[in-house]
Amino acid sequence: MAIGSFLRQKFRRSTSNASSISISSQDCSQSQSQPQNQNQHQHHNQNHNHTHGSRSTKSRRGSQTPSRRAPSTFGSATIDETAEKSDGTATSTRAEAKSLLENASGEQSSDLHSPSSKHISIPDTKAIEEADCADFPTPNTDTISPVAEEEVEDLDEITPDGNAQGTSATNTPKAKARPAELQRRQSLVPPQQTRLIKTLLETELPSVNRAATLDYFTSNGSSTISPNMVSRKIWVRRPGASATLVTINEDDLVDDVRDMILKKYANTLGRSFDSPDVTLRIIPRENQQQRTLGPEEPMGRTLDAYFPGGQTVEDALVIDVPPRRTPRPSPHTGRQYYEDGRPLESASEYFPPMAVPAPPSPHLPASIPVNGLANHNHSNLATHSMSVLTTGHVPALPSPGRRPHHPTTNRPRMGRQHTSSPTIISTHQQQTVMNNEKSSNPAPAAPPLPTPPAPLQAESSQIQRVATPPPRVSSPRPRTTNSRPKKKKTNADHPSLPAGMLNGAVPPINVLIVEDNIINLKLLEAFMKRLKVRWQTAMNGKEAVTKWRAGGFHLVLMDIQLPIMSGLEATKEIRRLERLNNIGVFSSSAGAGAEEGGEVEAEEDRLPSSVLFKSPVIIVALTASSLQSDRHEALAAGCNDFLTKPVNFVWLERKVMEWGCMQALIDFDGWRKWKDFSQMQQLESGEGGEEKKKADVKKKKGKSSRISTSGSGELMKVGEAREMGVV
Amino acid sequence: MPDRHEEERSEEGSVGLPDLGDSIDAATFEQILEMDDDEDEREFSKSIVFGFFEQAEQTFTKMDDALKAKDLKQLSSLGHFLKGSSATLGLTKVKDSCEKIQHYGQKKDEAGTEDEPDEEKCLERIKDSLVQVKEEYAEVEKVLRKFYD
Repeated sequence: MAIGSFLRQKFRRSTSNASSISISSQDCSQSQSQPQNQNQHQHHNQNHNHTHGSRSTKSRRGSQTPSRRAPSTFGSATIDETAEKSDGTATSTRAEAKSLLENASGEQSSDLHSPSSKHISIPDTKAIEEADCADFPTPNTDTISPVAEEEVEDLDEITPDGNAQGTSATNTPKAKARPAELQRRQSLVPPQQTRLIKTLLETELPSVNRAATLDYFTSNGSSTISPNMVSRKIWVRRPGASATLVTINEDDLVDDVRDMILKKYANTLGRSFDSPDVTLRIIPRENQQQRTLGPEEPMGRTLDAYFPGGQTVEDALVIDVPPRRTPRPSPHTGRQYYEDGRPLESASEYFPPMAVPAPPSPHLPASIPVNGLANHNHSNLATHSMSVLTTGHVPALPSPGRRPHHPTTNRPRMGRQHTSSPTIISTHQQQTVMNNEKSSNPAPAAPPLPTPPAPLQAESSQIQRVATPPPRVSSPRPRTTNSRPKKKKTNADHPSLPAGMLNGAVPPINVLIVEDNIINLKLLEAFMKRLKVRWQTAMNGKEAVTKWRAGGFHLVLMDIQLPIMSGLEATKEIRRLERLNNIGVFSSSAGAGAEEGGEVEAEEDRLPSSVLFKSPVIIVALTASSLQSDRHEALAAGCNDFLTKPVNFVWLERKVMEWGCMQALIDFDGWRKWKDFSQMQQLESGEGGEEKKKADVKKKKGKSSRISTSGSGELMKVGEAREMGVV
Repeated sequence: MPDRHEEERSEEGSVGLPDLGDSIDAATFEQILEMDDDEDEREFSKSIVFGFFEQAEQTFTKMDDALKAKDLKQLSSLGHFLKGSSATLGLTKVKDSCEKIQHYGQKKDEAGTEDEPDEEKCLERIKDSLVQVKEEYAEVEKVLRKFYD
């Protein structure tokens, strides 16, 4: 297996082997640079007859051999001394030995590279080669193998030589310098590599690799290689299915293998099972009792124990997953069962029977309230069909005998996976719509006016009563040009506005500003002035309710924390009164009982109710609080919207525009009344009015007349308004 | 906005907005300055700002009194009150400190999320915050007075 894919495999894994992954990768990068270095030394110091490939193999092995023995057999210094000495005296065979030792100790004094890093790189170089060999048993293998054998012999020779030289060299003065370097070798090793070094130095691994099916190179004496770095493949299969190879690491536990299996079976198993769900069964050859492997068992060794000659396809481990439909009676019969059941299960995940989550299913209505509330936060439609299928909501199960087991086996998953179904969602939406209607929905709610003349008077009188802003057009122009574009843009966002409204101004709504802080109040007032809308102020909640009762407000900017009566309380009170008066509710659908119930109280507000309270007032909460909970509280109390202080005036303008336009649409005739009225005022007040203004007014009139066919007839207007209300 | 700054500088011959320092949120304060345009130049914002000075000093006095009286509720509401106006003016630091006082007054932690049942602790914290907010206020007052000079 190529080291690249080996690493890729490793990197894909999210197991505890993470540390070894990093080692491997580092080593890999080092091994790319180091071999050259190595070769240089080798060229420099000795002559090899071997091919490049075999040489590096050898040097690798050499490095391992001494280092493994270093702690026990030699004193470290001795090795180095040996190498030093052999520099000059090496014979052709000993040159090899020397180079091995040299690699092992990193004794080259001119070597700028850390010897330790070389050490690490070497085994890896070997790993690469081994891996290559293993994966591609090309003719090369034939040439390398003999070499390897040769080397084994070499090593045998080296050992005594090294010993001899070592003992003879102990007296050399250079001996002093060496230990330090060896010390350094240790200290330079990055922490994550110490494990590898230790392995190289100490491991006397039994030849576990030998049994691995594809581990041809194990005979090379690679037992010193960290098991982490050696992969092997094992056969696994699902019951009744054909076997497949899974790559594992030598020291992987069964638990790790499960991860790999889930990766391999990413579609059938991986989607619905976690690795702990999976169990592996080993079926020994001699008809011994088959056995389920525990997660803590070392995979490689277990296999080797059961299949001494190496695992074959027939020995494939059987992958079991928890039964979904019936508890598994016994391993044997269970197997039989799976052979039928397994394909069904996987098939059902891919090709869900579409009729299953049908809304009229009897289960669902019962579960709606609970689930709708609990799960609507993460209503994940994508998982729906799956979740229903994998959780017990499949109504029709083939055999009745299985059914009783079903809920119990799947209970844990039900709660988690049973997210909202389409039915639930639709009911939820219905609920919210109803809420909107009740509390805030500014849908065309204007009740048909009882008789044209009466409301007319009320209306006009009301308009005169309400504090009107200074004549709108006569304000100084220079600065407003700044804000004009903004307004026009905002208007562009509402293309459905009646043409007459697009005069570049905020709709003529009436705003109630509720603020206890005089500074804020002053600013908001100034801003309203600038927007040229009518406004009134209240300094506390009680005052706000009182002023609202007078009627005619479209928008309330409500500070939340107020003295006497808080903004929230005031909001609730306003909503309550609106409900009592059926404001914003179609008279046809309005419950008469509610109206009667609140009659006494309502008497006070209802004077102009049909005209002045066409729709629920829009309440925009103003809060300086950064707490989300305060906002939710505000919305819960009946506010339609909220703004955070410091109020951004662009935002405020947008809000006024948005809500104002909406209200103006609802209260269309009221708006037009006001419009006409203010225009009249303008005309009267602006006696010497410029031609432009008049032209402007004419334009407006023209626009409104386009809609109204007759611009001045009051009766006609009311009739129209009624039409509008109906539409 | 840049041309507005220049304009103000030329008109007033005083510090421009960049000199307001980091304790004042420029964007928020600017939109107040912009309101001047409907009135005589600067008159409106000046009245707002100086109104705030007055309000802040009154509030500080009340806070001192409430602290002596160990009236946490009053302290909280005063903190909220000043928080509102300082936020509107973009006096970020003052606003934050006021918010802390408000939360402490509610027997909560700094962020207002967790309860702090120990009243003495809350009062202690308010005391510290009050010193802090006064300093912060003094700083912005200086800057703003200079701006309006």
